[in-house]
Amino acid sequence: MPKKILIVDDDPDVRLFLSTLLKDNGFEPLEAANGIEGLELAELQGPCLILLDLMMPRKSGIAMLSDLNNSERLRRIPVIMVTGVTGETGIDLNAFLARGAFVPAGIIEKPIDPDLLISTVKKALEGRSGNA
Amino acid sequence: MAGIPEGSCLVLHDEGAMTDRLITESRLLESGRDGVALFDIGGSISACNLAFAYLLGYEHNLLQKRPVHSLFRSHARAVLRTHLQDLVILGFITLETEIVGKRSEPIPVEATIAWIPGEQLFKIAIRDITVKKRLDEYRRTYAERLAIEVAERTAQLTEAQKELQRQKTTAEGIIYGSPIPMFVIDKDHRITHWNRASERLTGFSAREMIGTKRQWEPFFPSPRKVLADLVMENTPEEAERLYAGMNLRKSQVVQEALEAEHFFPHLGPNGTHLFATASPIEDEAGIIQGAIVTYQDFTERTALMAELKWREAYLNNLIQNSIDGIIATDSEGLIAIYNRSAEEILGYTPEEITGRMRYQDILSEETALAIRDAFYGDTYGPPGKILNMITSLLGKKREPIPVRFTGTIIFDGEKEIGSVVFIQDLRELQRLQREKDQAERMAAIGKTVASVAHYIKNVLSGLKGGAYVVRSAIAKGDLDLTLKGWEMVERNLDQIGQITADMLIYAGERSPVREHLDPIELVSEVVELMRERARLAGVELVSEFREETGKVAMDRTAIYRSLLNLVANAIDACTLKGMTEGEAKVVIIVDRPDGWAVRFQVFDSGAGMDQETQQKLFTDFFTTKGYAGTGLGLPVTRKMVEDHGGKLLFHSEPGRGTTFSLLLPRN
Repeated sequence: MPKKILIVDDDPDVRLFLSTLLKDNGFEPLEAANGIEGLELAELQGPCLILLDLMMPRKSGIAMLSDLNNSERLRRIPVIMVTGVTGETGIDLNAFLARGAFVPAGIIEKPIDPDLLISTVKKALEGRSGNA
Repeated sequence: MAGIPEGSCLVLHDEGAMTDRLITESRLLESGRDGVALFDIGGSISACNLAFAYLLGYEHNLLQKRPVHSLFRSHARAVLRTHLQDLVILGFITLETEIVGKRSEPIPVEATIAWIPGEQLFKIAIRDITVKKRLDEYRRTYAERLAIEVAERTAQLTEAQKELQRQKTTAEGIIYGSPIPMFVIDKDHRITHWNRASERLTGFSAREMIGTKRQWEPFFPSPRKVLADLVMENTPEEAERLYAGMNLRKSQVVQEALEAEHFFPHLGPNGTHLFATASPIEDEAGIIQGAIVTYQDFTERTALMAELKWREAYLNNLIQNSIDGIIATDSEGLIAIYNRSAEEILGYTPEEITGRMRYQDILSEETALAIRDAFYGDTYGPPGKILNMITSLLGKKREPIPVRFTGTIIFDGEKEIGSVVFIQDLRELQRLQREKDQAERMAAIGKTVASVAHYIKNVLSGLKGGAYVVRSAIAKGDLDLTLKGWEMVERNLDQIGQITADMLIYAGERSPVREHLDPIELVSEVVELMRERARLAGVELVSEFREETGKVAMDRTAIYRSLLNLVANAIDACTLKGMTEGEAKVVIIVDRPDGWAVRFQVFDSGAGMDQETQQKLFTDFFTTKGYAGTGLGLPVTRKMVEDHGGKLLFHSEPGRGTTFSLLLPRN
C-alpha cells in the first residue's frame, strides 16, 4: 500500500509535476488547489506527509498550517514547505518559523529539484516512522 | 555896500557960513565910508555926507531939515526924539540900532552920536553892520548847533555803549546757557567763557575755570595745548603730533577751524566720544583775538555708527558668502550687489559688473522677456516675485548657464526702487542628475537582467517539470499524461513569448494602432476570459456599465492586454488577502468623466497596498507575486496607456482594496 502524500498548490503545473514525480517514486499523491481543499483532503485521507505551497488563494499555506496545528489528529502529519522565490512572496517565512509554533519537516525552494524533493520526502517519512 | 565914487564930493552946506575947521572936517567926512550927519539940538539934520544918504537910499538934499529920530527905530528913535539934552550932558554914545531906509527896510547899524559943543551941533556917524550882524548870528547859531550835535553824538554813543553791553550780556547768556558745551579763550590763552554745558560735560565749574589756562585739565592728564590753543597758532606739525589718532582735520564748515574727535573714557558713566570744533576769533583787522571751542557728544552716534557698520558688515558677509548667487539692482536698473557665488557662476569680476551692467547684459533677449513677464505675472509666485524659475543667464563668455532663479522687486510704497535675485547654478546639479540617471539606468539594466534571468529560471523550472512529466508518461505509455506534460511545456513557452512581448512594448518598440472599438464589448471579453480564473481564486468578478461612451479610438491589443493585467492583478490582490479569508470581489466599471472618452475602473476588495508598495508600483520587475509575476505588468500597462495619450491612476488603502483607473482621451 503506497503512502499518501498531499500536494497543496494553486499552480496546476506544479501539482502535475509533483504528482507525476511522487507516483514514479512509489507514492500516492493527493492534490488540493488551496488551503480549504487541503484541510478537507487531510481530514478524509489522512496523508503521511503534506507538500504545502505558501502563496495560495482562499486559504494560504500559513493559514492552513495554523489550522493543522490546532487539530489534535492532523498536528502529527509532517509538512514540507514548498516556497516561491525567497523574499518575493511578501511573507516573512523566517519570522513565522521563529515563533516556534511550528517546525517544518523540510523546506523546498522552487524551482523544484526532483532528486532533492524525493530525498527530503523520504527523510521526513523516516524521521516520522523513527519517532513513531 | 557900494562905495561912493571917488572925487564926487558934494557939499551940502553953504561953506561961507561955516567955520574953517568945520569946512575942513566936513570935507574929510565927504570922502569917508561911514555915513555922517550933523543935526542941531532940535534934532533937525543940517548936513550929511553921501555915504549917509546912500545908506538910507535917499537923495542927500532930501534929508536936510528932516528930524533925525525919524530915521531910526526902537530905543534910538526915542532917545533922539526926547533925550537930546541928556546927550549934550553925556557928550558921546554909541549904540547898535536899526535905521529905516527909504523903502522902510530896517538896516542894522552902529551909530555914534557926539555933541560938538563949539558948533552947538550933534554929529552922528553910522556904519552898516549887516554883515557883522550876520556873522555874529552865524557864530551864535553855529555854537548852538555844535552844542546840539555834541549832545546828540554823546547820547548816541552812550546808547551804543549800552547796546554793546546788552549784546555782550546776551551773547554771554547765550554762550553760557547753550546746550552745546563750549568755552572761549582770549589771545593770552586764558579762559573767558566756560558755559553750563561744559560744566556738565567736564565737571569743572565756570567759576574755577574762567581767568585760568586750565582748558586742558578736564580732558588730558597733564598740561598741554588743546585744540583752542592750536587753532590760534599756525603750527600744523605740533597739532598733528598732539592730536595723533584723534582724526584731526580742517573743518569743512567753518573756515580756519580745526576739528578732532576722541573717546574720553573718564567723562560720563561709560565714557564719552567727543567731536570738537575750534575756531579762531578775529578782530576787524583779521588779528586773532582768541578762540572758541564747541563740543558735540558723539557717544550715541558713534555707538549707532558702530552698530550700523557691524550690521552692514554682517549683511555683506551674509551676501558675499551665500551659496546662492545674489545680484541686486538699484533704482536705475544698474547692478549694485554682486556676490562671490554670482561671480563664480557668471565669470564677471565685481568691478566689471557693479554700477556698469544691467540685467539685460546677462540675459538673452528671449530670457529677459520671459523673466520680465514672470516678474509682472503670477506664474512663478505673486506679481513682483519669481520663485524657483528654471532659466538661463549669459556668462562672461556669452554661454548660457542654467540656473534656478528666485527674485523679488523691491518697492518703496508704490515706487520700484530696485530688485534682488538669487541664482543657483544648475550645471553641477544637472551633471549630478545626469550621473544619477546614468547610474539608475545601469542599476535598472542590472536589475532587469537579474529579473529576466530569474523569470526565465521560473519558466525553465516549469519546462523542466513539463519535460519530466512527458518523459515519465512516455516511459509508462500513458498518452493522457503525455498530453498534460506537453501542455505544461507549451504554457511555459507561451510565458516566454509573453515576457518577450512585454519587454518589447516596454522598450518602446511598438506604437499603438488605433481602431474604433466599443469599450463595453472589450470589457465583456476580458470578463469572459478571466471568469474561470476568478472562480478558481474564489473571487467574484462583475462589470458595471454606468455611461454610454460610444466607440473610442484605441489599440485593441494594448488596451485589452492592459485590462487583463489590471483584472489579473485585482484577483491576485484578493488571493493575497485570502490568507485571512474574506469577501473577495473585483468590479470593472465603465463610465465617461468630463474631458475623457472613457474611463475603466478596476476595483478590488483585496489586500490593498502599503506606502512602500505604492511607491514601487511602477518600478520595473517589482512584484509581490510568486510564480505569476514578471514585475513588468504595471509598467507595461502604464506605458501602453500613455502611448494613447491616456492616464493610469490608482487609489489604495491597505486592508480595504485598490482601484485602478484607466483613462483614454477623446480623439
